Amino acid sequence: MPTGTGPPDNGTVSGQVVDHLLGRTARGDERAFERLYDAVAAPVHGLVRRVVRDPAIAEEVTQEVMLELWRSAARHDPDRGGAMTWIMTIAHRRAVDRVRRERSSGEREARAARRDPVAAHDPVADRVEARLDYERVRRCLRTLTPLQHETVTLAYYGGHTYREVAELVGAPPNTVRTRMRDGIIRLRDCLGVEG
Amino acid sequence: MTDDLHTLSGAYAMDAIGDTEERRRFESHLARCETCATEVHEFRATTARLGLAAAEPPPPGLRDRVLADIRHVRQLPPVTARPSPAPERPKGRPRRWRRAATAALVGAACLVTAVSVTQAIRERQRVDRAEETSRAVASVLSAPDARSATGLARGGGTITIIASGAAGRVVVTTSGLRALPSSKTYQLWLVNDSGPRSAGLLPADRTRPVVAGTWRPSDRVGVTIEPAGGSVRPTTTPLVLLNPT
Repeated sequence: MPTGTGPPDNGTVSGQVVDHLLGRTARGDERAFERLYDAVAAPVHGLVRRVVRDPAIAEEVTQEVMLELWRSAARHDPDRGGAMTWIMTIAHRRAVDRVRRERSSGEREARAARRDPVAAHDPVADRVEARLDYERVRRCLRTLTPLQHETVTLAYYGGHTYREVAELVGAPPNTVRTRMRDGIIRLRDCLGVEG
Repeated sequence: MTDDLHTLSGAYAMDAIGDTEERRRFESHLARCETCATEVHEFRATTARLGLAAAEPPPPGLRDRVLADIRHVRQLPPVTARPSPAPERPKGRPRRWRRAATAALVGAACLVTAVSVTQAIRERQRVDRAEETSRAVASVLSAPDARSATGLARGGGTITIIASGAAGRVVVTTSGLRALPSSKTYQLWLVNDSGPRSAGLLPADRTRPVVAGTWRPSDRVGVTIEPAGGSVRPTTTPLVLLNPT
């Protein structure tokens, strides 16, 4: 039902508030940025932490993301989606970049030797789900087929590329990318997300 | 080939295309394929929900470091030049158009039955209330003395408040609070030395912020679970008690 405000970005704080705060941050309002920090630091850090795992690195990446929000606030185009989505997209990309950079520099292998290297069969999915605060997201994740579920969670929370996911689940890459897309479509419909 | 590329939209939205060349090819396809661009936007809004579900507060010292850092970081200007006329966005326009169509339909319905008239009035009131809330939210957010706090609620979920003594109001937003049976409700309280006073019930649609009046700087903000209809005094321990700073 159209109300003139558009669908809110359901988040840890309502999308409307985050939209406002990001808009004011873009105009250099430091107080607004402070409030933006309070509103989004937990979602940002939670996601980053989930992807990079290492607490010290996660803290660094969260700091980078928050500074990026300050720097680039004016680059957010409200016509192209809510501020919260934009922020979570930046957080995810930064976290994934960090993980891939480390892996290519070999640091990750060293770390992996000390821990479960793949984390695929410690199913990431289960651990993540146990911690999910949001009943609705949890319910929607449960509507996915096992392969959709595994490919989506390994890619999003695990920070793996679709080719790596294919290796991990033992399925052809083309199948995996199709399942990822099917899985997100099902989640989108279940959560009632609009662009 | 195009079809084949198209199936990459899910992986792309999750930053799961590792190969730079492959990602570049998908992006150039994206620039030409409006449907794909819309799909990627929707996918990102969807995966953002997965991200939000993993919320976890950062270490406490980080806040001060970030706030100190921004003093030394120059902000980027907005992008002003549009290189080419932006393609029609499939979402924005139809939505506005749909709104007009809905209004016209509502208008037509009014002529038909009295029931529809009541519905139209109710819809109008709903819209008015939403606009009033937006204005109230804006007045708190733009107040020079606005302060905020965020806390995790016992039992799951997050509550954020932004309060202003000048505006005399507090904006409360929640997310991920457990769904309650119809016999229970979430109730908001303003608490100071003279005890708690009710600031109203949280509406069932928790995606919208709630604005509560008569907030004073000495007030903390609490949320309890109460029998449907609310209580005069809190009857349960607060899930969270926030002190805006």
